[in-house]
Amino acid sequence: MVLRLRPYPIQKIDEFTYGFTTSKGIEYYCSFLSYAEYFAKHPDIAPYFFSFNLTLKDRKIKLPPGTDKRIADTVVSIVGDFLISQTNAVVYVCDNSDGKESARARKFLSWFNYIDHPSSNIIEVTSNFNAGGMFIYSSLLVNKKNKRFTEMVMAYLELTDDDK
Amino acid sequence: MPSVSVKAKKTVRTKRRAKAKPMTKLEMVQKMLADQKIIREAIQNGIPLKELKKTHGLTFATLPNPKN
Repeated sequence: MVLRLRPYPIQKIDEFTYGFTTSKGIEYYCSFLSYAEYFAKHPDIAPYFFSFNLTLKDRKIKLPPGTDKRIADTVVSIVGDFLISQTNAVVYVCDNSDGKESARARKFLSWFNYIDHPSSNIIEVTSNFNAGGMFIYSSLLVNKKNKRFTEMVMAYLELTDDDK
Repeated sequence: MPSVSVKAKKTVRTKRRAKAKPMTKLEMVQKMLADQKIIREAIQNGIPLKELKKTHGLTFATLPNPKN
């Protein structure tokens, strides 16, 4: 898919948080939480795993109907730039607290099908898995030029291997 | 025979810590989702993420200035 990205202006809220506001005045915050603890078996690469969090600033706000394509563009820019270092990897685990995890997973996956942004260098590995009867949608995003690419993918697949 | 006093060897008592059990897959997923909730609630209550390091031991990536 060839698309021109039109991200919203991104603000740095503090050293760990980015924020952006949509044309409808809806404010989102983004952060990357360390996932090193889940990759303890791989101490060389563990510090480079993060999860991506996208949060509505105001929980009471009612989202307008329809899709705001620019939210996707903004997220792709943020995650693409985070991975441009070619050392980090991002694990995305879909929140299942509201029963909308499959729609959330589909949406997230569709966001990274661009070819005109540094994100075109991002490889997406999807591994949905079962954990104690709970079905979990997850993906790994890693820059294909990352020197530890294979190790990172293997470590992620090991982590998300189904319960035996 | 001269008496020899033997000093008792100083020993340092250390608390034995239970070896951390590896997390099960379910525990891991529950923690991932619980951490997401902690982050969401912190943001929605105006608590800076650096506070979560102190209160919940969560570590975040330090972000550069956005390119825009």
